Amino acid sequence: MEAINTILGIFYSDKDNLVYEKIDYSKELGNQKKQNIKMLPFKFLGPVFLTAASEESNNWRIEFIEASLSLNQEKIMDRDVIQSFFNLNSSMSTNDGMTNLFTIIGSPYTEDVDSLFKKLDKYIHPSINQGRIVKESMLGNDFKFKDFIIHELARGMEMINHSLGSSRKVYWKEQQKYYCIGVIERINIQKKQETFLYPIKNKPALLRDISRLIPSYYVMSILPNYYENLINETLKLFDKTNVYPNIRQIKLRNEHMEVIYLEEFLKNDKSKRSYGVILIPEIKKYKNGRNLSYYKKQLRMILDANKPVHEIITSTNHNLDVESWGANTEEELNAIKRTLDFN
Amino acid sequence: MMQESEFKDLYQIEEDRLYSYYERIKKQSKQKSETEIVARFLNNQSIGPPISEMIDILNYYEEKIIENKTILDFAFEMIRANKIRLEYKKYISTEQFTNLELAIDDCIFLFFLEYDDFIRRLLKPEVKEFEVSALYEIFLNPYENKSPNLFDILEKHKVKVPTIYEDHEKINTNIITLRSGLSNIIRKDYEKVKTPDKKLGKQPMENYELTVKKKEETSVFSFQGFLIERMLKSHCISKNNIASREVENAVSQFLSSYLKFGTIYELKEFIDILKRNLSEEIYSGLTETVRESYSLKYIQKLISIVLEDFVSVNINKKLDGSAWKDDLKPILNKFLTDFINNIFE
Repeated sequence: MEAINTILGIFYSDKDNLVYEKIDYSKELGNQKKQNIKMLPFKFLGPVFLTAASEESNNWRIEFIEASLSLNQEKIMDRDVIQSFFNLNSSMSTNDGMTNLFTIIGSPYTEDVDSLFKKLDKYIHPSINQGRIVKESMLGNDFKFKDFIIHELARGMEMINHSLGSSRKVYWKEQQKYYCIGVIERINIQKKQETFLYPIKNKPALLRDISRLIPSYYVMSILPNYYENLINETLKLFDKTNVYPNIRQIKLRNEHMEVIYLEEFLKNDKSKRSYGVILIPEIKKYKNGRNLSYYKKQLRMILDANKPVHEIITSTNHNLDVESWGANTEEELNAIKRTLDFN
Repeated sequence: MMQESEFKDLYQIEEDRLYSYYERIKKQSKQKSETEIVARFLNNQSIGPPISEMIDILNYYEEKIIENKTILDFAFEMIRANKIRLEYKKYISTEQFTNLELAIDDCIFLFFLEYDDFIRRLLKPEVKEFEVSALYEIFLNPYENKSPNLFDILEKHKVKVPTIYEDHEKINTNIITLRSGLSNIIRKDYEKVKTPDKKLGKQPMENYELTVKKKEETSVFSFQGFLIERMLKSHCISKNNIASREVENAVSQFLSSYLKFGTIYELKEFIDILKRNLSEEIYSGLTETVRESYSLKYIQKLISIVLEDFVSVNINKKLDGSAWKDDLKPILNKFLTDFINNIFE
């Protein structure tokens, strides 16, 4: 695979949140773009730090972000098209603190995300952390971390690059059932973006309980817009202007829990509507969970059959609030934080 | 990570058949110890080195095995390792790698990472990392031409693979151990499969085999300084004077083992290997008493200091192997002479 067709970046943040990066880009990009590309690690890792560093959020980490890419109609003739864009993040807790290894990958193929994540999480990231410990112990003050990490990131990138282009495999997995604890509606009409949250009904006991199972409604309301805009910006920086991104899935995890945000969209000439569900794995307390394809189908029904969002919300989980909460201004977001987030 | 049973299913060995075969050998060798019987059992399966070396290996690792496992379980895992090796060799011969480091990483990830988890369940938790690293070399090295000496292998790994503790708790450095144990094996296999493609084209099979063999014999991947080691060993034991000519020869042999005439090298691609290998060769030449004054780390530091100026001036240069040799010889000659003169000071 020619590097120029792909977008490939790998960033490592150490226990002090110092970020080291290796990003492949065409030499023909202008200086300003190159400078901006160097800022990408901080932008992508920003929310990772936010969720990981905050004690309140119980060390939540973003593990996977996937965007589907749609072709801009007017640029359909361009052959340099990438089909998939995703981020994988491996976070590891060490005795000294948290380290993250984050990737941005844009590819002309539908990649085998599971296998790439395994490579990142089980080999590349641990080998960096272990290599550092061993070298420090052997070389003492002569150990130059910067030289080491540059080499290791290049090594990791080679490994990822080597795996790209193999098609996505279907792995046998037990069908996990999920319980929906919120819906996010994002509407974009003539470049004006509006976001609404439909959380669990405002019952303190229930909300307090839910707060322990997700980072917060505040964080969940921000993430889809933040990453969709950032991926769009990234595509432009790499001159991939023939496509635009639509968030498809965001996966967050802490030591015990997992949260999946699943989104579908519909675009017509003037507007783009997206609906997403915030899901937690079914537990004893919250039964009647459904698998991901069920939620996907429900979301498509809102969009394609133009069903009222309230209908879907009540059929998905009768504990969800049919009254929406705006998540557009600082004020609105603070209201969400104040009223809905109990952690 | 995979469950033990899943892993056994993936790389199946016929344990029942092997066990009945082992019982048969046992019946035939009533006067022999269990390790001798297991060594013979493995030898009859064409697994591992000759019996005498195998007995040393089994005796050494018998003490490292957890309580509810036996040396026969260990032997079965040696057989399983050969099965994995076959799968891995098939893979490395078909896969296209852009460089050796990628081949090492990819093969370790695909074939040996799970195996590491699996094999460690057989070993006591306090086993040293160099012992695990050496175990990989023993299990997976093809014993085609030479018989390995267990204690040489252990010594070699001892200087390369530390076991690190923090607050009495062993820190997991399994990937680094895997790399230490397997890099040379993968490197040799990689060279074997890559060299004919690139350089030999459509040579007649007979010539091709000869050339590959020659290439295998002469291929070098690190600096080898057996003269340095021998010279220091003899100096440490007999405290005899070392002639300057002897030092020059040893340095020259060390540099020639890596740097070849007609090949262009960039200093940064080999300087770390040079420092590491030189310090290892020096350290392995020292007797235990001298080692109390000179740790490997200390020798590495000395070499780094001596080469500091040379590195800062030449780091981005690309030169022919013989040019690098000429430039490095006087520095290393002086260093080694000074080191020998001060060794007992």
